[in-house]
Amino acid sequence: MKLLNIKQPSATKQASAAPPTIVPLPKRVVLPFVSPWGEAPVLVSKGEQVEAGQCLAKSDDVLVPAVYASVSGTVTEIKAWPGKLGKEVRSIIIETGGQQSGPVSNPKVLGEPQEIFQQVLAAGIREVDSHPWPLALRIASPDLIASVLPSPAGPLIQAIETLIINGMDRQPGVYVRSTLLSQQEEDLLESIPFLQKLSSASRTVLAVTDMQSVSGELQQKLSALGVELVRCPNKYPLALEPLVTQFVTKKEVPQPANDTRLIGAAVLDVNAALNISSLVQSGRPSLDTVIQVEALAAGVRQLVRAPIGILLEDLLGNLSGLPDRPAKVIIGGIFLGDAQFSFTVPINQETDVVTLQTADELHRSADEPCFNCGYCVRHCPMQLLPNELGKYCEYGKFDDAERNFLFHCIECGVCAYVCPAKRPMVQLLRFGKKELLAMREAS
Amino acid sequence: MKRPDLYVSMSPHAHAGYSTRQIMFETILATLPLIFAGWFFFGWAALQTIIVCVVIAVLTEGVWQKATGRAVTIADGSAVLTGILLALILPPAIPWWMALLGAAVAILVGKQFYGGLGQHPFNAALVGWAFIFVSYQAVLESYMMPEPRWWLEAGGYLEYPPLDVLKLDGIAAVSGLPWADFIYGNVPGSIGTTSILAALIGGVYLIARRIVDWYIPVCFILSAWIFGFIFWQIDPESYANPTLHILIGWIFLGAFFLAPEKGSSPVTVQGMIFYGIGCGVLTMIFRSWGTFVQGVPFAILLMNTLTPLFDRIRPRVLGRVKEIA
Repeated sequence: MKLLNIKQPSATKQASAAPPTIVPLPKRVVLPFVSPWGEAPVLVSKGEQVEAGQCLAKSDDVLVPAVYASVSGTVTEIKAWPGKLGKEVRSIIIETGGQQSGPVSNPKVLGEPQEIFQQVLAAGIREVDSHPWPLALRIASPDLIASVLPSPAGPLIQAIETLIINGMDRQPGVYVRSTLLSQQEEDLLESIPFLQKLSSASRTVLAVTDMQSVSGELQQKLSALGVELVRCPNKYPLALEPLVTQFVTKKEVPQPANDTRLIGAAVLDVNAALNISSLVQSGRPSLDTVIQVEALAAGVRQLVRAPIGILLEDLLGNLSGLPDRPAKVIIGGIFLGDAQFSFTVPINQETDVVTLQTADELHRSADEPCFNCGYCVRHCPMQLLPNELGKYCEYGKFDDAERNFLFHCIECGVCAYVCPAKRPMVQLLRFGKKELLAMREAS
Repeated sequence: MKRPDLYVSMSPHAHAGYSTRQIMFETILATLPLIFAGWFFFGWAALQTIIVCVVIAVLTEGVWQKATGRAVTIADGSAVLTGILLALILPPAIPWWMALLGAAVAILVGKQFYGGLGQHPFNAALVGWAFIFVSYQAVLESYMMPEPRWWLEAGGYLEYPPLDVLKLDGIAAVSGLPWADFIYGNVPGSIGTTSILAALIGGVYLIARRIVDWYIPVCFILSAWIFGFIFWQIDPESYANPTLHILIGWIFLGAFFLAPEKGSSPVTVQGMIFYGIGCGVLTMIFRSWGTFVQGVPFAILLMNTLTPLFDRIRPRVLGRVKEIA
């Protein structure tokens, strides 16, 4: 029996990992243009030739991120396509072909915060963590926001005191952020002055775990830029936004809003910072993304760089050593990810890791009763009582669950991970949340 | 489009890798030193009682679940554990049919009537014990003398368990006795309650494996000692040495095996601390001023009833900040 302490794998071991291998150009890419904040109107039509870096969909609403072509080719269709949550999402399908023209690149010297803000806003950078606001609005100071939004929402009026660059990997087994942090130090450093101008934060923090190695040189350069290095315990789920914010600022993030702006903090991860840095360097949004592909049973664990919108089958088809018939394909990691129905799911910047599990590796939840051991209570990072919440949701007592702060649950999955009865805790709690939201909508 | 044969389930897609069954079997493993001590001091009679209790507990659970049309869960080991724990708190020479009745009552009244594993408000083994205690009190007043195997000499200077002697004959009767015999368990008493050493070995194993959190056992033993110490300081003539109190049986078994039983103990850290303190203090109150000789079983049963209240003492949920704007 393993001791009940969930540690992330050491980042130092991964720092020497090879740079991401580049995946050959796929035959087609699928680019969803729907985001949690709405759908961006499509600017291109079927059959149109597009160039890499060309804007395909753009909304007047600043909340809705724009979509850019990640490859050159022909728009073959604009239709609903299965997304990573199993639902169909309206997407633009581009068949690649012919000359991959070098994407239009016109680096400008950006100095004014207003210019940087406009550029980040237009880039439509998507992130792995789900946030209440898109990147540009989340890390911009109230003045900048006021210039694009006539009457911004409450949290966006709050000034940013602390800007946190999250260099910690989201969950055990993933090392994308720590590897990028060590391999693209220079790019990260380059983005920091821009981030500071954007947010006008008085304190900038780079959060890493106490296992991650940070070279003395980097530390010096960081302190020269006025960035504080904060080392957090290497324990899941501390890398998740509300918890890392609380660790750094010593203030609790109000739930269920889960909005760090309410306490004057803004969090962005290393991937987002690097995206901003490449935006500033090349004058256009980044067209590819780094994904970790993992199949532990087959001994595969590597980073790849692939164009945004590549289909899962194309991504996996280009790698060797993967199991022939995986039993489960997970996008987003073993603690937080979603199991996939098909191999035709497009992968974009919201995906950091793809895990293949064989039948032996599968975790099966059971229908056993809770026997009140209390492991989940002692491990819940939000200090909830998952055992009670799970029972409330199982037996339809959703009001009781809500009174006991069901919506404070961040779905990290630790309760289900430690449950000896193997109860499907996350499923029960999500079910409860969904029912409550549906009830609210109905009333 | 043909869908590939993929399993789809909710996150997380990994598990820490242990089960209810494993926790039960590890707890059973932790009772092995106690079973050994029972055999070592009381011979085959002790083992017979244990076997009767285990077999009847498992049978009762299986038959009841079959009869009520529920899934039969005897393989999870919880009935075995209840049987062992019940036997450990019974006198070694108890008539077999009494052990049988006790085990059946423990499983039926103590556990299954409430809905089975995890749903019962009382420690099932103690319910069985209480049934025997109120029905056949004479049996719980006669104990066989320890006859240790091999090299150890029988501690033949007490006719009754030291707790009974302390209660009935006063402090003077026990104060001069060698503590080593209490620690080994070389005194008359029930199968598993006399040997402090065996209970400690099992208990340390449980805590090291994190099956039992240290809060309940440590608070139980410490609070009993402190409570005893206060009254011993006030009046050493009428109150026994607190160290003697915790060494003369029951407290260690109660603290490591009976009180932290999962279904009937609190789950929050604060709740467990209060629960442990309550168990310790009540034990000493019952022992010092109660009518019955035993303090531990009633203290735990009483605290079991308070468990739902202790579960109300919960940690402050993160993010309960007044919303700004």
